[in-house]
Amino acid sequence: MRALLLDMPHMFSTLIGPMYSLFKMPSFKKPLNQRPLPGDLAIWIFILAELGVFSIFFISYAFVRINNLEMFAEGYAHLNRVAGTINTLALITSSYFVVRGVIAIKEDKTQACVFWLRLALLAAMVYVGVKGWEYYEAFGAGYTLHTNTFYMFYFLLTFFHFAHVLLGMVILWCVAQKAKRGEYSADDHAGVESGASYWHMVDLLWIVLFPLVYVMH
Amino acid sequence: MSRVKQATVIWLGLILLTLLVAFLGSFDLAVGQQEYSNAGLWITLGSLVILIFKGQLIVDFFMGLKPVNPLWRLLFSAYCVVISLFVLLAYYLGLH
Repeated sequence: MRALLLDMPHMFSTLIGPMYSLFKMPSFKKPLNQRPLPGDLAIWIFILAELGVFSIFFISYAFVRINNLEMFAEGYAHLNRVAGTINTLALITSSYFVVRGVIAIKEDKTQACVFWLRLALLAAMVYVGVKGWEYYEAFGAGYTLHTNTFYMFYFLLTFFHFAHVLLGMVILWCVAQKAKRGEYSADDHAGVESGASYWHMVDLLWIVLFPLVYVMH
Repeated sequence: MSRVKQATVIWLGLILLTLLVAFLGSFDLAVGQQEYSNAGLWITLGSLVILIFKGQLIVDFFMGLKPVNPLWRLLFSAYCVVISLFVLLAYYLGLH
């Protein structure tokens, strides 16, 4: 406990640092300690394209809401915010497990990497289960894509994200299998980093989607 | 701080911020009443600030973009900021 208290200033600076650095103009001179992008360049181009597509959905949702305030408020009232919160926690935890997997492979701990990636898949399954249950409840109550504009956006946004979670799970499973066969090491782990980057994108998208659909009203 | 310890602190921070956003969403607001509209604007503003902060933590520490070319980091950091600004603008327009 004492060690934790003594470490508090460091923890605080770790959390606050990124916010401060947002306002610093980046220098495009390559410093000596600058590292290359984690994983392959192609996955980052793909991630940017995915973020672009989702941004159209997010902004459309926000602006369509202006002319349908009562409809969106009524739809919002029927959403299960506990399920939304559990899903956010599940994805953040899954992302953390993936980070641990990447750290493990960089230290040449293949078995630990497989363990953390499988744990990440388990946390992702919590998301899939809760989301599936949420859809089951919504369809059971008679809500579909055609109910109104709110539900059209709700199903479109969340199902599009859900599909990305499923694809991310397939990628994580493939990476875990390859790691199990010993195909990654401390010197060759670009595949693990690429899979991890995709998974963090899925997490980042939900971080935007959660307040937009489940919190703002 | 070791990388594992750093990742764990960031994860705990993200969990706490998520619970805070969920708490903001638990307020029951009605449509069309001025005092509720103002409260709704503050809830929206609060959750967007938290969204930007959470996004930055993910970009820097989970995606690992802090030590790479700053242009990449700027692209991803700006994503959450730009989306938040559009959402805030839309929310504000909805009030008037």
